Amino acid sequence: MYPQDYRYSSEHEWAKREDGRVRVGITRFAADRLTDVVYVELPPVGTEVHFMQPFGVVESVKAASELYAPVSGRVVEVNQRLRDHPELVNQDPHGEGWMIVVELADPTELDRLMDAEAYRRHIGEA
Amino acid sequence: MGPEEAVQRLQEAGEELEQLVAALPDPLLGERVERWTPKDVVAHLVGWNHHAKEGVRELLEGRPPFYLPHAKEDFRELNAQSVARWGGLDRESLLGELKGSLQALVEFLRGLPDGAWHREVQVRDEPLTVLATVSQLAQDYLSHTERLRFWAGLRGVAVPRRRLLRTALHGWHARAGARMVPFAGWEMPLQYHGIVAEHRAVRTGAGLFDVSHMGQVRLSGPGALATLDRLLCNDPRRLRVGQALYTPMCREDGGVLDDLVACRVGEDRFLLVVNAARREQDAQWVRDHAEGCRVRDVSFFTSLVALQGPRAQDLLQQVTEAQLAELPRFHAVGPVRVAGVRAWVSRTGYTGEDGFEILTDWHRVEAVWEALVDLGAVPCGLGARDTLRLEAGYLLYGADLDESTSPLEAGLGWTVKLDGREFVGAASLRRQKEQGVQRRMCGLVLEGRHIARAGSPVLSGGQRVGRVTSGTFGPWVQRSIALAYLPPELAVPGTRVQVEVRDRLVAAEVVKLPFYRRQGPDPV
Repeated sequence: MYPQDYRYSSEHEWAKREDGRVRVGITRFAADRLTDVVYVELPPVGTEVHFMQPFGVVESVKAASELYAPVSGRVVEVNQRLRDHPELVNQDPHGEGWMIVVELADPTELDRLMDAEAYRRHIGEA
Repeated sequence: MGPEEAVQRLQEAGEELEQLVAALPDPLLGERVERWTPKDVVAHLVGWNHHAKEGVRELLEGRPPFYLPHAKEDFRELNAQSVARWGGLDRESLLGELKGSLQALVEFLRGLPDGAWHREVQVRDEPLTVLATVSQLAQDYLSHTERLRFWAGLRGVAVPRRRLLRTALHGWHARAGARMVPFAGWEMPLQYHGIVAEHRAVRTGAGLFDVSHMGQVRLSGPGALATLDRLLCNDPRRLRVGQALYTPMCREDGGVLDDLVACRVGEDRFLLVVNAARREQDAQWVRDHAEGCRVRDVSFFTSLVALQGPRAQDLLQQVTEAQLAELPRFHAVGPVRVAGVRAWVSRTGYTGEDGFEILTDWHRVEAVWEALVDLGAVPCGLGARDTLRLEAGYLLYGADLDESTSPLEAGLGWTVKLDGREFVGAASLRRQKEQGVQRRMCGLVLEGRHIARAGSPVLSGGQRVGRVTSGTFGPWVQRSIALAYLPPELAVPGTRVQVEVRDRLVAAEVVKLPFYRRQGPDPV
């Protein structure tokens, strides 16, 4: 359910290292809690995001929730498909529902995130 | 519900009562709630722990329980005996009797073979089982406990519930994997597989909602109609037997106490279906104003499910002999059989689709629910209920309506029948109508996909002019929609305003409600 090679934040974002970049999305747990996502507001490419600071907003039929950057760095890619298909966040939160790709500024930040097992404990699913 | 769950619920209901009574200060313990003191309530339940055990024994011998074939007066006699026997005990001894008798009953029930629980004995044309007997006793506990809790709260003694209230379908929801959330003191399904999918099921097929958390208050007696005529904004005198109406119930100053559906189920009998969060207040308000009728909160003895959508009639007709094609909107029929269960069926709902609401005895609802699911009805949670009602422009008490809003402000003027009537609040509403209201409920459509939420400020010309009371992204209309109170001069379709959504101003337009209107002719 929660990929072993991802790192997880206490705010329910995941970070997947792809060489010097990090792909970012929200976890299955967060997507389920939000209920059906209808809108994802993401920063444009080139924006600097900061460790555990808000970088966007995800809206569901029930509620709005801020997105926190699990790592600092410059946004180099944004998932444009979410604009017309926000439901991807619920359907495939750890894959097609990814949100941004960040050029990693400080690799040690990844060590401050949880591994899959610690995250499952964090959400009470361990 | 299985035997284990039923016994567990009974035990938990007993614990709730014990805790409540233990927390009541001495003077309250002996004070009359109405006919009875809290002590009397406990004493009569001690009695029922004994009666139920005896009754179950008789059921297993194939006979109706000794207390059942009799009329209500015999109950009264039975209860008076219990009150005389245990009501005079001090707190500690009384609670000891309660715990002891309940424990004895539970141990007796736990010793029954599984097959015993479902053996049926016909009592007044209804099959009675041990399971139903135990369920009813647990509900009796809850009904008394919640009444006492409310009463104690009014006297400054707040005793929180140990756990949330559960409907008879709670076990079904849990087994189906529903995500449960607290709502007005109840643990209710928010969604089963997804709010949007459930929303679409209702717009295109048939969705099924457990709305048993809603309250049912029954009025019976020659003064019932006059009592309601004094309390409801809409005119109950228009109702023939089998008809229902939607109406606000107001305070003297015109503030809305609740919005509800009143159904005339007999010449001198009415059923009010009220919001879960307002049940106790409503029942008390009606009792305080009742003349010549008996008021009973029967919420813990009834279950209510809503079958909604264009296929609702097709599905329901397959499991009932009631002629649904001949049942107009806001009409009710009963008692009829639905999936073999005695029920009342009304053509009402809260989704903007054709549909029905089905009222059964508390413990019999599961057969109805399962029959409809087997026919293809899609179980839907409170999430879809909220998005559906918002698209349909229906108001939600506690969000769009409360004691500080008047029905005239809320756009419910069509339910306020002032001509020649003097219901509570009529004078204030008459004055409001003459002088005009200060604000009016209207629909907003926001540009893009930014969603307004309750509390979002509405601006015009840079000035704050109102606030949003409900908002969502309409899954069917595919627009960001909201309800908001605005000054009358702005509450006109076509007016451009702005809504503040997370420190950003989003353009919005006032539109005529509802956001969604069902296509096709009305039934009948």
